[in-house]
Amino acid sequence: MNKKFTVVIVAVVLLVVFWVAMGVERNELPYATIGELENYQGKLDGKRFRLGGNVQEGSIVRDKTNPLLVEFIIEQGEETLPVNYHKITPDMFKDGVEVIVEGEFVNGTFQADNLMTKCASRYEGDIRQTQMTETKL
Amino acid sequence: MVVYGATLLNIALGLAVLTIGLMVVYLRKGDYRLFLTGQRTALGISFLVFLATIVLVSNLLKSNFSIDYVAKYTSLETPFVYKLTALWAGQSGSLLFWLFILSVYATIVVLQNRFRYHQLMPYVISVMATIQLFFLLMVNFVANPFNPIDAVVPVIDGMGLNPLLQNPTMAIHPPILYLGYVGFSVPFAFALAALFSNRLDAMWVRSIRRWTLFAWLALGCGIILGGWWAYLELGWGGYWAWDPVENASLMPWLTGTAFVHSIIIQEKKNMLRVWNMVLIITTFVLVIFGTFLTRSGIVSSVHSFTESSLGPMFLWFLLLIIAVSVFLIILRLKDLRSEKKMESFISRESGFLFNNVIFVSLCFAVFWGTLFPVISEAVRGTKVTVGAPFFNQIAVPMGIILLLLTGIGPLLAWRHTSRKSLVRNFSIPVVVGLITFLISFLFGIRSLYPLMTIGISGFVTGTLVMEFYRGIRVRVKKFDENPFAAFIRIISKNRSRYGGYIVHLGIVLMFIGFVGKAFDEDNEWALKVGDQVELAGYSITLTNVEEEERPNHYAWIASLKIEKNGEHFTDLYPEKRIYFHNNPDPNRRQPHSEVDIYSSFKEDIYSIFGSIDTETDVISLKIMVNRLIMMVWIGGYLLLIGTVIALWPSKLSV
Amino acid sequence: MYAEFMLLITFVIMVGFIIQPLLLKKVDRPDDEDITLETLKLRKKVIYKQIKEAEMEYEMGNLSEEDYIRTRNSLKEEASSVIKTIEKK
Repeated sequence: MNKKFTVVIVAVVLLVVFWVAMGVERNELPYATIGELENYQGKLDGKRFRLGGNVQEGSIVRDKTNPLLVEFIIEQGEETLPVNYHKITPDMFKDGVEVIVEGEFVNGTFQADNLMTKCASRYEGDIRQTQMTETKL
Repeated sequence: MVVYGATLLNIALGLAVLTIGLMVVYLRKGDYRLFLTGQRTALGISFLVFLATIVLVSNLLKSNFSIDYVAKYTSLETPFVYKLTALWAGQSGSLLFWLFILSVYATIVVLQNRFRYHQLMPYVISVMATIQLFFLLMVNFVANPFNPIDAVVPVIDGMGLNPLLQNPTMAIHPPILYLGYVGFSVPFAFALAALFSNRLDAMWVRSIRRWTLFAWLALGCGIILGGWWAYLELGWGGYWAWDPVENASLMPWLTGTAFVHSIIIQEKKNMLRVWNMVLIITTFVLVIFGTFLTRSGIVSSVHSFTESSLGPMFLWFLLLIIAVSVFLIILRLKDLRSEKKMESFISRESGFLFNNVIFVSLCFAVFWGTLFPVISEAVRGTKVTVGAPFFNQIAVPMGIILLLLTGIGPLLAWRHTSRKSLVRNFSIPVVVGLITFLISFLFGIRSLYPLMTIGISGFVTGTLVMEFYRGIRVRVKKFDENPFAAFIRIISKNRSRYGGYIVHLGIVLMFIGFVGKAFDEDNEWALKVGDQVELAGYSITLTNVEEEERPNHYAWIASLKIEKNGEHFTDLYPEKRIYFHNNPDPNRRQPHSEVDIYSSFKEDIYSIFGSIDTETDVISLKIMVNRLIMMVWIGGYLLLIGTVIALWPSKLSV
Repeated sequence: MYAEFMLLITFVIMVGFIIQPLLLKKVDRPDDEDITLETLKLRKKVIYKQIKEAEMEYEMGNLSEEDYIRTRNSLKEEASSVIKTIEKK
């Protein structure tokens, strides 16, 4: 009886491992760098990407009459990419923060449908700086 | 006083080393005085940790900004309660808090067993002291919460606590989660002690049954509270995102759940002894791994603390635990093997066994999905993320199988179930399950998983209700009790059994809540005062937007009138807040969306104030209609009640 | 000053508490519980509990008579073998 059990359990475990491996393959979406986008030579429309970078200082433009329309620029070192986003932005979304955007190209512009902010340092920022500015004031 | 905090931790570190040393010498020389002294040094470690915690807390309350930690996590305007909770808001404080809870447990374990388990206790105390030693090393040398502030000028005010953490749920979520996390160190210590001393009989399992159940309960409650907090505070309308740190707390819960079930088999049948060792050790390893994941910054998540040098130390500690455990298990393999064998597939034992296989597989899947991005980057050099779809694809079917087993298990007899018993037990629940399945089909539900979940929920509920009914019927017949008295009695006389059933009922409710997710609706709009929009049969009017300056933030408050079928239904007031709005550095100002929710059994109306344009007064608003979400919280309460019943001390329990 | 004084006192008491057992003359180790006997007694208790549970299951109607008798017999067999071992001790 124990042997039978072992066989059944091993079968179940193998099935799960296989299933998990398949699942990862199907669901992973690789990160692209902005530099890599040039390899597509303009044939970007309809392709899905996930990109990471920092929001360029002062690049966030919100439509005055429709705050849901947001445009901003993400930068990775020297390279930059304009991004359109049509949803409510997370609270942590502001100049300089690290973001991950997911979406596709529509008529040559990157249309993000998912925007995640990485609160890089939560509240563990550099207190000395703030403190200095405050004392100066 | 600051200096003393650090000194207390220094001495505690010394005592931890001393405790381990004394126990080792005692085990070689057998001089009982050494053991007694070791017991007291063990108590001493904990005592000093308590004192150190008190010193830190009192400094937090006094707003002594000469301590770096106090200045980083509190400010003068932080409310009293949140000055207290700042203890676990940051890296070093939360490590001290971990240590604090561990010390509470260590004290209880030492005192409770001072006249018992003479062979096990030296090892138990050593293992606990080793874990304490590890965390003491951390707080002494890597992340010391008593470090003085490194500023040229005296600090006038601190930075304040993250507004997201200023919420009652958040005030209790971390401590409860920690109670669970750290609680598993006790069964782990007993398991290792049993292996070291080669006392592998039923004793060690019995000595930890309560502890395990308690830790499991606390971890479960911590996870649910975390979900609740996310739902109330984070403003995306969900409670679970398969975030790496959520996964980190789920993994030990999954193996812990498997363990809670499989020790029943060991108690009753003296089987699965190796397996149980492996399970509890894995659970503790996952606890430390989870703590590591949160602190090392190797995966990014809402929860993670800043990247720090803690990572490598945690990895070494993990390696040490795994190496020692594996070595011990191999050493004792012969003694651990049980002579008993499984008798039949159609038995309670085999039900438990499959439950274990699925729980552990699920844990593996979660582990793989969580670490895959890291592994992929290291091995293939490409960065990938594995999102919610992956986890759902695996967890949903496995969850459904587990739900099914919840219903099947109680219907199977130990050892072997005859066909006659099978028919007698299964017919009613199966019919109930089929009926619920058909009803939901007729109501227009066509997707596979929701249909299966609802049908199986019906089946499980059928099983549970039948179990209660049959138990009550016996007592009514036998003792001539009234049904209500009989209901109370069957629970109080069979606490673990019926407590377990109540937990299972809670799980069923939670699954119903999960199913509700498939029927959620939401939309986002840009609105001006007076605009009206429609969603899921509700019409929503933005009637007003007010502004208000409050003690530590500035708020815009939207007034929403919700109507249904032309009649007034309810009003919602979501807010957009800016915390630290007076800070001269705009990047330090912290926007925050305070959601407002209308809750009912059937559905929640969840409103999020996204943003406001101060020139045109146009706001962005998101409304979600979340179906059946309240079932998740009610299920959580049942889980709590059921476990407390099972835990309640009783003279009868063997 | 007050705080320092209190800390010092606490510390002295703690050290005294810790080294007190070392000042005693040799203390005898308490007798080990006879583990095997304890375990056997525990086993006996657990088996009896299972017999009671099986009885309850039978009364509830969860176990057919055939299953009940088989379970009870095998549990009783096990119990009597455990009792025999205990008596030998």
